[in-house]
Amino acid sequence: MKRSISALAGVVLLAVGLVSCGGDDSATTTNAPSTDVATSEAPATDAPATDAPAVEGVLNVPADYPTIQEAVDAAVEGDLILIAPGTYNEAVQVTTNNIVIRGLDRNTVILDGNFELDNGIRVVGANGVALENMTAMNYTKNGFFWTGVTGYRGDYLTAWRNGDYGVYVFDSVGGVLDHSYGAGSPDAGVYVGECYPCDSLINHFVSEHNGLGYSGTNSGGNMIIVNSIFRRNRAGVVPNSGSYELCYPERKTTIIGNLVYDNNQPDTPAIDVAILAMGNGILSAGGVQNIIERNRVWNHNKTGIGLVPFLEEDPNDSMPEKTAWDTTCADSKKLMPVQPDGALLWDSQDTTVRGNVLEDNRRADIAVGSAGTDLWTLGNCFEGNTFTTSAPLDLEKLAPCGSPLSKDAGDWTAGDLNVITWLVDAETAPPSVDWKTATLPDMPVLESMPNAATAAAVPASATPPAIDLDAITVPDKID
Amino acid sequence: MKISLVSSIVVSAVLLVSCGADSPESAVTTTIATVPPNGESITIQVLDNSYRPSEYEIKAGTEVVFENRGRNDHNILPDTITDDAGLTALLASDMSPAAWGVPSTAFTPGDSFTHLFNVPGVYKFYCSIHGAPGAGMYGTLTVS
Repeated sequence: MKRSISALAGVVLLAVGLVSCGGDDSATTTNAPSTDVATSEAPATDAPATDAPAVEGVLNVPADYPTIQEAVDAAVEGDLILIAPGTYNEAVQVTTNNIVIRGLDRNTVILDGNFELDNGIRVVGANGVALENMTAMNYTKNGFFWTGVTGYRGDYLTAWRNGDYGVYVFDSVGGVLDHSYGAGSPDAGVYVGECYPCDSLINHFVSEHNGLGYSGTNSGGNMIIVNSIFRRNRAGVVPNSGSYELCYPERKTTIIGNLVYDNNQPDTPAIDVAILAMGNGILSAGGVQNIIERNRVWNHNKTGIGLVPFLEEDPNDSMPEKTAWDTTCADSKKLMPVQPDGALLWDSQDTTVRGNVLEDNRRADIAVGSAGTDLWTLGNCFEGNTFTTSAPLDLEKLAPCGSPLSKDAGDWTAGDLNVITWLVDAETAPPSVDWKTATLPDMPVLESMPNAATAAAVPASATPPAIDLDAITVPDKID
Repeated sequence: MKISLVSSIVVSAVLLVSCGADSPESAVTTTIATVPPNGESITIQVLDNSYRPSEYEIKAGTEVVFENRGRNDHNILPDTITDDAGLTALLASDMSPAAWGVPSTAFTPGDSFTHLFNVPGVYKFYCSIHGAPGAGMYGTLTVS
């Protein structure tokens, strides 16, 4: 018997009249986020080359091995698998630690699932695997997928029109996703979930025309999202909590220096949560202790930055006490669940929203809401943002950073956010579009990895590179 | 005496299907003694993308209920099986204790799958969508 939530959560794949969104995604950035997008069409893929010279530790595909999988199976730690331009109809599985799989050209090394294969490349339990400089498209699940690993890296990856996520990182720690792109997935273009501390960095990522630009369920702890672009998804950046995955709640995600705009896109594939979250830029759905700073966020039908609850109707465990929020994911997995009597309301708490620049977010530029919890008890604070509207009104006066919040700071009910109405909105929102046929912008030609043919193979480190967060400024507007 | 618990149901068969190194039996010609239901039942939550608990010890004759309480499809495959099709073929051709599991088509969110583990052994399983044997989404049931 299906539970009601599962019925709601079912991905509805409906073919509807498609609205073209054009291919106007040429973008020139003048600040940190790199759009990685050019307007010309991708060159036609050549037949795989076969004349690569043999070099010790380098396994050439198809010169040495006709398929990527055969090269992966032959590889030992430290090897580099170098893939010549061509189309590879493979679902590659990696179980060998510390190998590097690299395409010679990001735009012409294409793994194509033909709408039948599940994942472009799936790394299962293999630590330190780096994937570089290639495209994965038309997979029924994910373009690129790491699970259960320590140390991962994805550089110059393009995930295009895949049936679940573009780039999917689950139960994995110590990683970097850099200069990568995800488009056309019903869930998220990029996802990092079930990790604490994640020790992970998303940098220079472009995510568009997905259900969610970014999703991170129960992730956090040195989880950093910077210098990236989330646009034209149903919803932009959505860290979230829920007991349908382990290691709750989502906490301590840092979101700085990103461009987040136009996330009202009605013609994307979308899971139910994406439809529910539609029209929001950065939406913390039950996340706690997050830092949202110096982002530029504009043009959303609901909120620019919203801190809202996530209602879990049929939870699998009780909500952890605040004192347990710092429990590592590894330790929390050892705990047996205690089934609560009813639904859980994961409130967003103790989050700092500071120094963002927001405009034209129709419900409110900055907002905090709940469904019964007194807002001044949640510990969220707002300061130094450039904005016009807030919910409740005068939010920066009601909830300043650096001092305890008070019921008496003002009228918390004036102009407050009624998130319950979003449930109603979701019922009438444009339904999901079949991911196989959804209209997408022309596939962009994206920046390739420099010196892909000659660069040394460097397996992924479990320690992401340090980022000078203080040096990141609000990026300039584009488009 | 333990033997008294053994059911009169005795399967005499040539079991050609392995359930891995720690399986109840593998590639043997033997008599498998099954234990009748003991009235006990446990539930394993199947979340996105984990089995909880992922390791558990039960007595033979215990019923195990797997509940898909996540938001995604999952499957439960013995470690020797590579995909849903392989499981379907196994279930159609093999009546041994090694032949158990549920394909993803029958295990969508909200679905449950119940199996009586009535032969002692170590049963390793995984979800082929989100893991591999011993990695990602996997679990072990030890039946004593």
